[in-house]
Amino acid sequence: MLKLDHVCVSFRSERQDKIFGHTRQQVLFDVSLEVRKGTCLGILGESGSGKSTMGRVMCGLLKPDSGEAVLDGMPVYASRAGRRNLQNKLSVVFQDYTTSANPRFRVRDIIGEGLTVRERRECVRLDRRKEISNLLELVGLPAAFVDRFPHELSGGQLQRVCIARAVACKPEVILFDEAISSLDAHTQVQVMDLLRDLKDKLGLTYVFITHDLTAITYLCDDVLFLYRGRVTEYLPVSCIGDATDSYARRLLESIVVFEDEEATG
Amino acid sequence: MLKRLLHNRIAVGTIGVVLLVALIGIFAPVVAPNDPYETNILNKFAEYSLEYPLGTDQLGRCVLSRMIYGIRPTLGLALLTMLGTIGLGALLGIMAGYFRGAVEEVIMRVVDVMLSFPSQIMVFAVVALLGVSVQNVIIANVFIKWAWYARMIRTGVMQYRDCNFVRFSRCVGMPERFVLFRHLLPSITSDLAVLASLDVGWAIINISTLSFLSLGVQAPTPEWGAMLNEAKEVLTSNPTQMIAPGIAIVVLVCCFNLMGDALRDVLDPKEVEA
Repeated sequence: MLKLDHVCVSFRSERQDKIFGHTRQQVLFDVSLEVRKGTCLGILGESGSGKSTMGRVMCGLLKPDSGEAVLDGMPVYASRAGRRNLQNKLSVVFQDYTTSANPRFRVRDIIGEGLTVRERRECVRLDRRKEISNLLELVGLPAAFVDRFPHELSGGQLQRVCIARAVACKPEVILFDEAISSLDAHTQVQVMDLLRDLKDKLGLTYVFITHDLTAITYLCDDVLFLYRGRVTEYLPVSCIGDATDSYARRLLESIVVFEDEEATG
Repeated sequence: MLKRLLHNRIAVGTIGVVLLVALIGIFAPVVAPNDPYETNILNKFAEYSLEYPLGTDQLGRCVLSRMIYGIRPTLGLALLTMLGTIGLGALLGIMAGYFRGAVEEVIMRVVDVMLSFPSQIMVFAVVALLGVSVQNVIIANVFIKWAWYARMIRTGVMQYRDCNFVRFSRCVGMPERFVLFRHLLPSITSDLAVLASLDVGWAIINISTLSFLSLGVQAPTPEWGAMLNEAKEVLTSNPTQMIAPGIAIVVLVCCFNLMGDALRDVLDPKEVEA
């Protein structure tokens, strides 16, 4: 349902040789992908490979130089209607939970923002108190948290609140930009279980950006390797062992070695 | 927020003092014991007494009454100056931070030019250019001060506009209004409130300075700076006359400075409640 079609992105370099120079640095080269409804696509790559830039293109915040993002057959960047369509159907959870929520908002307001989006779209008034406690229950937090500020929550709890906010808009696609990378291993597993649950319950489609291979194998149906702005490998997770690209192999082998050591030790 | 404000003793104290002063100023005709303009040359330099609690000045006018009536120009003009400054500064600062590009470049270069002049000299220049009057003093003060605010607010807007919570709002299509009024403005308000309350003190002193140099509020209108100026003339024959306006200015300015400090604590959501 969500498609990227030959997307290229470049940024103006911060350092220019001439005063009014226009040297640009290309970050994404001819990236194409497709996410099918109800599946989860994992995007894997090392730091600086353009994963997050790709995420920004997908959630409508960055217009690519060439190519197009298409949602349900509707080009996103061509018209206002296209962007509206994307905004109605896509939601996002960010990596850095410390800046994901306004420090002046209580949990109630944070989730309320997502509800406002839904109210505006569906032109209905929602029973906010009930909706918020439902959502909190859905992500496994006690309803008493509604009056807390972000700094009064732990990282995992705040990330759950952010997930609740993303779900509150009733999206069809959720983009996770390294959403679990900044959590500790145990919390990561909990959050991933939660995400799997939500996906089944609400029939969501996920795009999962990460640099953690285990998270991908745990959660995703397809995987895409990104190396220096190019797609090097794009295949179902079940065939991940057949990856031929050198970067993908390196990643895979590092995992295997780690598991071997554990087995022998 | 209100609860935390009431818990902070300095905030409550300073806001109380400022409100009290403002109320006294508003109800000056009721509170003042004498007519501030009534001269009685035979009774000049009177001692502290029941009829003239703070004595009389060189023309036999009641100092306390003049102090009370003087609140209006002193505090009122200072607040008016800050209102104009913040209004203009916020408008241009938000424009610069929000639209970026050419708009930002033009605004920020104008700001750079404004900031490169010594502020006092600029005030004198503007007042000399426009003529001596109260509204020109305010125009001059706003004119030199807005650039500080424009720069500060632009920095604030830029700091928060790429924050993840703003990105989320953009991504799910919240209206720009919401982003601006619920995310960006509250985030910069705490810095703004602190700076503004510090600068009210500055504005009071500046207006008093100009009155002291007889460039601001003109005699016989009572204003604290102007009263100091009058007291200066009779420094040797009646030194006590300068005490009342001098102390009043110091106390009010101190109050605003302490208030700025306390507001910072109150407006920071991470501050642990005592």
